[in-house]
Amino acid sequence: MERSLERLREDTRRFVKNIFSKYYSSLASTFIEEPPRISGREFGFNLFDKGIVRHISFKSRDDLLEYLKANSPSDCYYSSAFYMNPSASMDGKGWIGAELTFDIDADHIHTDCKAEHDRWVCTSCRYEEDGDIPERCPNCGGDKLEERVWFCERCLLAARRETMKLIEILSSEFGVEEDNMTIYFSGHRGFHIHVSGEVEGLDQNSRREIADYLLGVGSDPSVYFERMIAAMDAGGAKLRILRAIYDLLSSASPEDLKAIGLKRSFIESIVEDRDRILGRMLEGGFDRFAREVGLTSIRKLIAKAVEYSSVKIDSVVTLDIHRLIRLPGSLHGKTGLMKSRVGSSLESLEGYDPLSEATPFRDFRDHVKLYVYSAPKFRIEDESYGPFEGEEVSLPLQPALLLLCKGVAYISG
Amino acid sequence: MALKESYRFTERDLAKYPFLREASEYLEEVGFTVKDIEAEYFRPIIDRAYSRIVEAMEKGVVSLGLGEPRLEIASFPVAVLLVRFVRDEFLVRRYALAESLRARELLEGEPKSLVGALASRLGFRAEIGNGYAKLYVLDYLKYASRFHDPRWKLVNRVLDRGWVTLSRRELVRLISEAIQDSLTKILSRPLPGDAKPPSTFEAKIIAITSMLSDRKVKYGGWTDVGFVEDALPPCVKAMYTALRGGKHLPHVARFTLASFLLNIGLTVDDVVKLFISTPDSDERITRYQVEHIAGMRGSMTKYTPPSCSTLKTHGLCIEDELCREVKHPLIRYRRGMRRVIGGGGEGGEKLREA
Repeated sequence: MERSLERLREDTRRFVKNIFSKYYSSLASTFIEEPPRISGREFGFNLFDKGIVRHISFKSRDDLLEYLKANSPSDCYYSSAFYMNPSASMDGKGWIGAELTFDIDADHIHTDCKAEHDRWVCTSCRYEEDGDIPERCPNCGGDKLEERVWFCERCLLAARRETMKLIEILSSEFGVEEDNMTIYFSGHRGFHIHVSGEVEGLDQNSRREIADYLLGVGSDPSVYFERMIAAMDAGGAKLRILRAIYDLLSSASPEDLKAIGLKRSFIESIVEDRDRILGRMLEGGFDRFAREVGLTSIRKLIAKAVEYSSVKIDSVVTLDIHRLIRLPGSLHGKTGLMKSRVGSSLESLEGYDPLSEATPFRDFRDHVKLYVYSAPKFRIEDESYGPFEGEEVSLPLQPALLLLCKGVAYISG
Repeated sequence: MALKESYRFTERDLAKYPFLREASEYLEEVGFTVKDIEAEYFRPIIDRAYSRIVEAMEKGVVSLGLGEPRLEIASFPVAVLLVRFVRDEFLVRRYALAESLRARELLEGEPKSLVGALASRLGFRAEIGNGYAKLYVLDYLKYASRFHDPRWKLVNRVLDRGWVTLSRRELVRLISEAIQDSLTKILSRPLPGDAKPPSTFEAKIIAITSMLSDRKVKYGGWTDVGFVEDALPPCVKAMYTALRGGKHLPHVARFTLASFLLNIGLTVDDVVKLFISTPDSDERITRYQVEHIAGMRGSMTKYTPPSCSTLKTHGLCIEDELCREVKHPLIRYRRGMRRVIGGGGEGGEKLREA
């Protein structure tokens, strides 16, 4: 029994590898987007049979495509940095610069739906449970636990909302031009933003400052308050904080306001007279509003507003100036979807649907027979599939590949 | 938006800021040449150059000396040459800092046209108003990201379309940082291999070198003080306790703990022993990693633990009252040691005895 399960897994792996290989020998040439200055980049790959290889470099796009064709990796990465000697070991590479990169992943954002679709499995005793992964298996005490994260549309929407916040801050607060910014769908649960131009020379300390700024780490509300009063124009960050305070006050319940630590008298006046107070804030501006609210309360509101309007980036990615990031146009080994270009503007992101656009196999109509252990309902383009629970099904390639890559199904046909 | 460089520097300006390109042009015009360095008339210039360096070492700042502008201007390149002959990293840092502090003190009283001219000379894109200034965010980050006071953190600045608003004083602070950088670069530039110091330099070089060695004895290294659990910073203590309790630590925490312990003088064997007491560890891999951190492999650099701000970013910072204004866990350990040992003493010497 155990042996035949092993064979099913092997067949499934071979099937997936075969599809990836087909992708890299034909379709990939239209989708792969090689990084600028390709010859200065380090590449790394996860190969189906050999695991991770890195410190590889290519002279040109053709060299890269050739390699992909010959090796059809399950995942492809390149360094956001460009080097003198990209294929040397880490110490001898000679760092020249690196794009500033941001990673927004549903993993880092709290969504209520995760409890419904994320599971973990103990690899020793196969015990599994919903929700966040514990340190040890409560059943057998083993510590080799595997996450089975699903990605659903609600998670993707949450990641997209977060990405929109990021784009807004980058352009209105940091002054990043659209030409220097590209948004990508990661191929799984989030988005990558690559920023090029002068930022490429930033050292790690400066990148940390940018990450902390976005996450709200190290913010001091009393300093911020002074600075807001001093800021001439109501644009940029000041506007963001004002909007956040406005949002907080217009939707918060008395309990929420109490949790922020506001004085009872202020909470009462907000509850009784919300519209008038908010109206005054809009008309009289921040300075007058601050005077009326009082210093203690305004500091608490600012602290909350900074937190509320912060962006949940994965700071490790932004800080690491040697980071390998997924190659645009390559397939994600856990989904069979592509990392694909969204565009440079908020509008392009607003209209973007990864489940219709990161699907290179959408035109493959032949069905694949597979056995699905368990999968929630999901969508590819306009078609819904599932939920499946221990059943044999026949699906078009793209949704079938998703289930196989996710490890919740095996080939049965 | 940078100011156009229409400002003309006067002789007095050049005496204040002798590192400007215009200062060397001026010296050329008045017929000053280093070829004369052994001539009698050069003696006061060399004396002032020497006093610039001694003031830097003793007081940490060079005096203003604006009484004789020409002497002040000419003595600066000579001082630079002296420092380059001595070739000492500590002196380079100390002197660059002291000259930049001198410039900073002077700049605080200057009109905005001069501040603007200097700022743009140093590559700042700035717009200077009366009490405040606006600086392009990347220029701000280049220098402000080194400071640890929360007031300098970008998160506490109100950014608007790439511009950071700051006070004139704060801008001057950043300008002096840029001056320090560019001086450090000039002072560390090696002289040609066959360059011999002029005879008039010899006594000065000996004097400076001996002052330097006195200083080093006084402020010697303070690490390698040994392991005292009660003195550990709370973040490291938590990692240490977790590891001993058999808990799994994230990578950054493992790195922090290992590099911290190696820096306070534990041996690779001690650290490996601690790490392999956890159930899932492999001694060979652990040893390899610890040796790498200790600088025995790979890049051969000994790693220091991450700073407090890095730990904060990774969510590993735990603060207590001894952490106040501390930027680095090793500094916090020194404070902790002082408390454990019994509060005495100022710096490292006491600790070394302990």
